[in-house]
Amino acid sequence: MSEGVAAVADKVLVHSPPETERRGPFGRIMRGIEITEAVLGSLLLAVILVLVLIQVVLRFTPTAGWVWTGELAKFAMVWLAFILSGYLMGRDEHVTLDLIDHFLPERALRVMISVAQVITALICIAAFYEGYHLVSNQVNIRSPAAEIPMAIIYTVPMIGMGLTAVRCVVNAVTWRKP
Amino acid sequence: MTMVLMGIAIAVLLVIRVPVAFAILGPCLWYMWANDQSIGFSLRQVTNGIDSWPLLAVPLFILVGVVANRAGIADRLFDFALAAIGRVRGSLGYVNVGVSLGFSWMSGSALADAAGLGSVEVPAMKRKGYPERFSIGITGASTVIGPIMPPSIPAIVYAAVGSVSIAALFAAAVVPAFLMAAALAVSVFIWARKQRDLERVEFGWRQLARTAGRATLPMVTPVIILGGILGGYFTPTEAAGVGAVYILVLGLGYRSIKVRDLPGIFRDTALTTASIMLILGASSLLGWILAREQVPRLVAEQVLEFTDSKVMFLIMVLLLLLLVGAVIEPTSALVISVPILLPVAVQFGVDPVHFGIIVILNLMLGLLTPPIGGVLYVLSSVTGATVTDVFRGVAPFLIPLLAVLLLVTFLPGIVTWFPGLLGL
Repeated sequence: MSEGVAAVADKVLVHSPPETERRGPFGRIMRGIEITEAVLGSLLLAVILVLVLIQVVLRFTPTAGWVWTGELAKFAMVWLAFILSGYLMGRDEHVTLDLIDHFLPERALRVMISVAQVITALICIAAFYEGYHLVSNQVNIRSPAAEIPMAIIYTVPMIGMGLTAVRCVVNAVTWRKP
Repeated sequence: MTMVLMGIAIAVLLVIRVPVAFAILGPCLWYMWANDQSIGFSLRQVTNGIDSWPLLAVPLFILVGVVANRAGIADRLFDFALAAIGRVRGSLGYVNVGVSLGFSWMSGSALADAAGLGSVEVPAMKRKGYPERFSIGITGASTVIGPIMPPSIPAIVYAAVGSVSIAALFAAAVVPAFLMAAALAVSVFIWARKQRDLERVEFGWRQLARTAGRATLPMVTPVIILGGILGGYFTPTEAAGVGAVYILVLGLGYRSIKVRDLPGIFRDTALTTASIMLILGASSLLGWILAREQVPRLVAEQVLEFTDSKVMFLIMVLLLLLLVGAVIEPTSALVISVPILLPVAVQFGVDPVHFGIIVILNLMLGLLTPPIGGVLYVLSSVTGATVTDVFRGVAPFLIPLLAVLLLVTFLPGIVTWFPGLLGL
């Protein structure tokens, strides 16, 4: 019975719809980016788990704490969120309210989705621009514990927003009713 | 006026299907740029909203839930509950509620529970002659115990948005979650009285001992998580990490999860986490703007002009959130409503932890109501019934759940007693 549960969980919940066929050089690049994002996101989750466990072990040992573990775990979560933003957008898996989808004829729905994707792309470009300024202004600032340059920390959100914008444009052009 | 325009902009973007995180972020960026805030500050505020130690519990508790669902824990709890009370008339109804209650200690998401438990419980009930509508209804209704009982993802989100202690919220949710289970059990009792020919399961000590043995180790998970947090051994984030490792080891030990499944499990957990975190990040910027514009104070003044009664205020909150919960997904509804409503509630003398339980319970009922009730859609997909049929099944159980909501709202002792006992 448990295999049945896993299969259903896979189907309904776990964000693994059938891979979309993507042909041509652009399609292959997008597929490569998608795989990279998924792998990095999964690895960052594993990093968070390990760092939190190190924190637990340190709590029960008399050694001086590695304060950087907590800080790095938090940065890993920031990176995870922004790295996977494009992946989620490409598969239409961001949290979205499907309030009027069912009431619209397909053509009107297509126009609405395209408009929504263009607006989202503009928002992502604005966020990318914010990220660019942040990276430029934070070159000499380091995080308090791990001493990672903050410019590196903010590079990931900047790139994530850029890749999300690209996905929006692709979606606006290629969207089809599922 | 600016705030009204921003509110309209967010609403329009949500309706035309801009993802929630970006529907919040867009108007916020426009506000920041229009008000000459330095460029770069907005994205820093968004990342600061995610860069939080308590919020690290979210991915780890999601991981616990994903693994518990895949490891067949629900089957073990189901077999045990059936062996224990199978002889009682309507036993599978009680078993259904009991399994949801037991599973809720490991999972904080109603949607995950609906998919996992629905695929086990609904077919089992139908095989024993229970009507499909009743089977789906009680399964759907009981899944909302999951996000109330700790570990609860909405509670962590509320704690982050409202700057409230996660441990206190977790402790506060225990009694209301048990009350929900009790109210649903009473509904099952009332229904089962008229059903004379339901199949029952013979009781046997050997079967009880065997199934209890299979369910024991999974039920240690909540002991580790809640015992660890409330006993002061772990922070909620640390408890989530330890719980995740324990349930992973259990799944691998039971061979219901294989090492090659781990990348998929981690990817799925990471994706769910990312979608929640981006909303939280955007809402952090929205919260900053609302505070800068003193919106909570203005809302409080408006409400106070209308009434100065705490009871009236709570009735207004209940009605508003039932409406919001029906059309907006719970996490998004939480991050939009809490920064405005919580300061007002505090002005009316409502305890922030009590208010948190009211808000979470209220919004979770939205998962069971059209047009966007997530549990309805998941159960429809799992069972093959239409969404309308699923809702018809769930609807009668909204009455006991609403009764619990009213009790929890107007008798704050139900919520504050347990955390008070623990000194939280």
